[in-house]
Amino acid sequence: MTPDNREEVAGGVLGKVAGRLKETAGEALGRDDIAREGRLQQAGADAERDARRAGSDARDEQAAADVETDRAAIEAERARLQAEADAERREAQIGRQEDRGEAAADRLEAQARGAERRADAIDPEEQS
Amino acid sequence: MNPLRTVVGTSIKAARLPLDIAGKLLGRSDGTALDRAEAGARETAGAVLGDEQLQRDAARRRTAADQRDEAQELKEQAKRTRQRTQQQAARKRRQADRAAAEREEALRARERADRLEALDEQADALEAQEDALAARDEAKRLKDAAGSVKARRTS
Repeated sequence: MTPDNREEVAGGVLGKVAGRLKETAGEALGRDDIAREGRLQQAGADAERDARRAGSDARDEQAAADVETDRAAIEAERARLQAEADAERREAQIGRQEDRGEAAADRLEAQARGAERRADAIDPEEQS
Repeated sequence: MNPLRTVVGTSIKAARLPLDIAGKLLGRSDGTALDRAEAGARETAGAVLGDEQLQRDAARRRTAADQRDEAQELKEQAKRTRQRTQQQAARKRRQADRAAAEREEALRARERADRLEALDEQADALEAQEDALAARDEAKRLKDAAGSVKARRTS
């Protein structure tokens, strides 16, 4: 017996079978107390099974929720890194276009200096 | 040295000098206009005087003026190229900045939606845990009740 005046009854499948037997025996013998104990034991066994299922479902739901949280975080990080990479690529592309423009301007200036040198060689008197 | 050629050359230079000084003082450059005018004057003088050296001199000055004009045009092309390059780069950077800002806003919105969805799932999971705890309590209650009935029966 437990300290609060209770006895342990079996649970699980065994408890379910035992409860069923007690219920049947109690009804056959006209012993309501045994039949009631059997019904309670069956109900307790059913409730235990339901609780196990509920616990398993809860763990599954928690795992799914954790996966969803991780997935969202990873997706956000991926998108942010992708945006950074795209921005760097665009900036590099703009930089290359700038370099090409500056190089073209440098070439024109070099040609201008060449023309000035030729002019000075032809007419040193008018050197600017 | 042909004295007549020297006189012509000096006269042309003397005639040009005030224009050169005025141009410098005013900070204006008329390009090679004065060089070409001088070449024209030398050519005319050469033709009048029958001086081939003066005429060759005029042709040489005109060629040099052509080269200086070409140099000036090339410098202006270079300047325009630099300006165009800088303007294009600035425009592209502005476009890129706008696109990045729009993308960032879309990312934030998506992040909020995902976070809300994740929180909903966490809330469902907590609810399921509550249900599981309640089911466990109910099982314990029924088992205790069965135990109490058994205790009364066997006492």
